[in-house]
Amino acid sequence: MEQPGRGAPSPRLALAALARDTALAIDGVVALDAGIGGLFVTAGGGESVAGVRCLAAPEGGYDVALRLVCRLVALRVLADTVRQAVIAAATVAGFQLSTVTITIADVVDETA
Amino acid sequence: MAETTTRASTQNSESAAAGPGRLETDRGTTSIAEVVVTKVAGIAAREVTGVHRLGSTVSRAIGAVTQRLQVGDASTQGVNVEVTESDARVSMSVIIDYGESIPNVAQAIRDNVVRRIEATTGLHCAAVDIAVTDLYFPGDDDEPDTATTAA
Repeated sequence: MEQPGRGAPSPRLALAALARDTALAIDGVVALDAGIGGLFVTAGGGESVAGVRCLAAPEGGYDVALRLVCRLVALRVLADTVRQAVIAAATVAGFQLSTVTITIADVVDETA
Repeated sequence: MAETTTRASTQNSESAAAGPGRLETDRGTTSIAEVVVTKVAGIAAREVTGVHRLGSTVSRAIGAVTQRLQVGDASTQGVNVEVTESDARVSMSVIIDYGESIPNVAQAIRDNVVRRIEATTGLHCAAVDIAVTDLYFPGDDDEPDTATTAA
């Protein structure tokens, strides 16, 4: 028996992909990091988005967390820029976000 | 030579005065991994004239092994960082070019590390402890001994 909704794109995965693409479009963000063991992902329906974790928030909407690999720039400013961009993109796409947690997981040493 | 470590707290940065400590916002938190601060500190130290390389002979030997196993990173070698919510404390071992003033180079390292960490991460750099583990003589191809001198 086919499960209802099976095969339909997961809103959580769509949000994770949107957050990933938004973050990667910002100058200074090099990549996303899936963490130790590659477990920092949003997964479902056989697909996954690495470096982004979307969880349903208790108050409704979603808590989004991203692990970023960045260039050596002002990291807090960059994190705030990413947060604002993700919130804006998600709002336009019709998602309600509760929090956007940014972890600077690594930096790229361009002088090496 | 007996190891002596110089410790100097830095309380005069503008960002520290501005109280950048907390990384929380009303829409989520920002956290910075220790490895990030470690890399920034290592890069900042290497920028200083007179610094031949970071790390002691032992740490570099271990680092060479870990890098071959792809679990280590040259940019973090010889640097240890403790990060709290708002502060970073750095300790590092360096090998300095023979002929340079060790106190001057140590101070330049300290200043640059503090400046880079505070500018890049927004953390207050509370201390930079520097251990000068050896001197490098031009023409030395091998690693120098592990003797340590005061910074």
